[in-house]
Amino acid sequence: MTAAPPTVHIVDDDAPFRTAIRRVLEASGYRVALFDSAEQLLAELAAGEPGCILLDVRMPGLSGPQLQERLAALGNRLPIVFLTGHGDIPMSVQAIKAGAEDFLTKPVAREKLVASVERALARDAQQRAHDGELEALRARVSRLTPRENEVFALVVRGKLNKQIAGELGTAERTVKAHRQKVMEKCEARSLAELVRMAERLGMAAASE
Amino acid sequence: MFLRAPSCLQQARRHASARSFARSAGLVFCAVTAITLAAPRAFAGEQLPPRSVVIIGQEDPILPWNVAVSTVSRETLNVAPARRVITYAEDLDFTRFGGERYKRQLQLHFREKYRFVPVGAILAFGPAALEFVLGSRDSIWPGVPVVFGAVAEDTVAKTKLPEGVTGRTVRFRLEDMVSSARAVVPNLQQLVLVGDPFERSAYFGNFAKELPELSKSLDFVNLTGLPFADVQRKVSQLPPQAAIAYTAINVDGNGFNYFPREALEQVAQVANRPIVIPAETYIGYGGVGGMVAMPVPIAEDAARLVLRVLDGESPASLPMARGDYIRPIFDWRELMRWGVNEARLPEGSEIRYRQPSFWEQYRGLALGGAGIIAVQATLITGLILERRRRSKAEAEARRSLAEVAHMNRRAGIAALSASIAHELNQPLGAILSNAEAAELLLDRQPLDLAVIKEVLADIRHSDQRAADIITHMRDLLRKNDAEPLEIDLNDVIRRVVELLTPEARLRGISVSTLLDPRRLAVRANAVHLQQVVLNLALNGMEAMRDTTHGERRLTIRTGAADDSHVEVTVSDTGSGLAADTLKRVFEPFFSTKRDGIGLGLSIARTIIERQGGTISAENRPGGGATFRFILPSLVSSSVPQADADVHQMAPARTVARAPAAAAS
Repeated sequence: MTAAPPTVHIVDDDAPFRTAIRRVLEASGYRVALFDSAEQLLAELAAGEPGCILLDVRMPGLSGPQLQERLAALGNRLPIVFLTGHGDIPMSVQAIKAGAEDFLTKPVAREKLVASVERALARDAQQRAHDGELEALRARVSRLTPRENEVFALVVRGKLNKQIAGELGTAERTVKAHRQKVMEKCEARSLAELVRMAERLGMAAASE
Repeated sequence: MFLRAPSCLQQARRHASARSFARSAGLVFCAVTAITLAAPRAFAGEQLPPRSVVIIGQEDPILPWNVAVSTVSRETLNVAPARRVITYAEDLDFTRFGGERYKRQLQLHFREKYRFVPVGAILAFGPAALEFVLGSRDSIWPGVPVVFGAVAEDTVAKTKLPEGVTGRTVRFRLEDMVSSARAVVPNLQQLVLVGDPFERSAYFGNFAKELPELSKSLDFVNLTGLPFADVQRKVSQLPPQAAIAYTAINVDGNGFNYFPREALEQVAQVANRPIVIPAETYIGYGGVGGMVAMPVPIAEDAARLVLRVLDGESPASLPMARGDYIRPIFDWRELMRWGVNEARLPEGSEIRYRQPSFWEQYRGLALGGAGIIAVQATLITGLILERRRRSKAEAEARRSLAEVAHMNRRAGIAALSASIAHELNQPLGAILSNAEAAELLLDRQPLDLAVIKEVLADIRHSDQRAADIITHMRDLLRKNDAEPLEIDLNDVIRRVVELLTPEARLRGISVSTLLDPRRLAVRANAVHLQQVVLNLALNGMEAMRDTTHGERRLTIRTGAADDSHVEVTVSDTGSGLAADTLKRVFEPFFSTKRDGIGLGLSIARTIIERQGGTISAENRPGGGATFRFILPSLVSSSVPQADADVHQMAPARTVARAPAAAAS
């Protein structure tokens, strides 16, 4: 979808620290964007841009955890690495539960910082890839006719053609034809592959 | 005392007995006297009894008792030297000599001896002497009045006293000796009787009659009449709760004569229990003492009676009476020896031979000396104590204030700890990251030295920043009770604001400082003042918890209060103080905070007052509260800082204050 390089978004109210982190990350080969407050990030963050956020916990105005909440509400799933000058366990647990990628304390060694940033970026990339696959799958499924959709749902639940025909009130032969069409449209080479696709799309594949 | 002429009959009889007169003057003289009853005073001497007295004792004259009695009697009879009384002494020694034959010989002897001696009265001491006198008077001194002393009451009672006899009785009682023994020996169970057999005893005959009654409550061991050696042996082996009652040993069971007082001494030497005694003359010879008869008053009373008789009073008009001659007297040495508690002795007891203690001997001197020493010592001690107490109290107060203040500073730092840690980790984090970035930059080709220089400069700045934070915190955390120094109040405020700013920022509070551009010199402990400002500021910040975000403002001003005082005010835009809170806000342990211990402001007050200042709180008209403290300024406060504009300096009140940026 996009080939844009990932960006590490640094949000910290302390300018010298912000600058130092920028330097070390840039020297390590990352693309970096600086924000002196949570509000600035919210205002300037481009939607869909890949990367991660390095977020200070205690800041005037919106705090780190508050920003995390706000981004989640906005559906922004950029992985967040918290950086705090004085963190406590409850705070870090809460941040991780809320989906933070990592929770680092200042001062942070480059190795550790880079590892966290790497993980966060990998997660972002993975998320994006995953999102892309799903998108393609949905596109294929969207080509099915309503009747084919019904057959698809029953096939992935493991129903035999005869049972499907009984449930839909059609001839077994007709069901067989629909099934063939579903396999083609979904580009599935086997029934097992079709079931995996249904699972990824969140369709209940459980047997009765 | 009034005189009465004796009856003619008596007169005549008396003269008859005085044969020298009878032979020469005969009845003529008597008739003259009889006719002229109111004779002129020239004849008065003849009308009254002759002033001569025969004193008769019943025992050995050298016995101490007898010596005392006869000596005192003579002295008493001659109290008025102008009216001398001639005395004759006869001691009958009945304890050693006795029997009717001896008495008859004595009668014959006295009749011859006093044949031509006019005798006005007979003074008899002791029952045996009285008995002899009464039996012999008619043959020796017919009609001469008789006065007796030292005779037991019941002895007199059983004797039918003829006319012209009177005297004073004494009561020797075994009961008295028992009570004395009980006083000396608590829980007395046995009383051992030592002396002549009672039936032979001149004074203690009635003891035998008392025995049956007294035996009901006490065990008596009667050693009277035993050979002296037996007595000595027995009194040396007495049981613990026993005492000895010694009357008098004149003759022991073997018929040997003893001097009673010496016999007492010998008994006392071997006795293993205390000895109670019946007569004062025994005191000092080994007896512990007791209810003792006193020879001196006995003799005095009897002699006075004689004087009255000699002065013309009829013995019949001087009734016989019992004298008060028994006194509780004890020997101190014996009391000590037997461990007798003086409190147990009868009331009014006289203690003799008390060895005067140093105190008693030199009482006055000791008292004076001790008094002076005591006064001096008290003064010295008082002064020393006072001094110690004061310096101790001062040190204590200093120390405890320092302790509490230090604790409070730590609490203040703890309140700020999160923000301070955050604040400290910012530069540390920057240093680390900058250093690592520099390392990476050094590996790059081409080297961008400008950037590396910039990085190094940033590292230095961050390091300085971290060091400053640590220094400020350490200043506050240090147990600082150093002497006050001259400091600038503005510096104090700056330090505190630096500490406070991160916390204030987190809480969305804007901190403004309006500092007097002049140097505000005060003599104070800088750390303590920082603490005061910190407490006031934290208090204000706490008060703004419920204030809406944009309205949270903390303002600290400094300035001159008047010509000699400087002031600091800390204002907030919080909830302000309720009326009753306003009154009590500086009291220890007063707190409106849920988790406050209420010491911050009271410590602030203590510190300010110790520096000679005052602190107060008031509500601001627009809401919120202002805390103000005033300190005496040093003279140098009026000296402008080098860079201060001279025009701004003149009147303290009009100094223009540059409002510090109130930005957050």
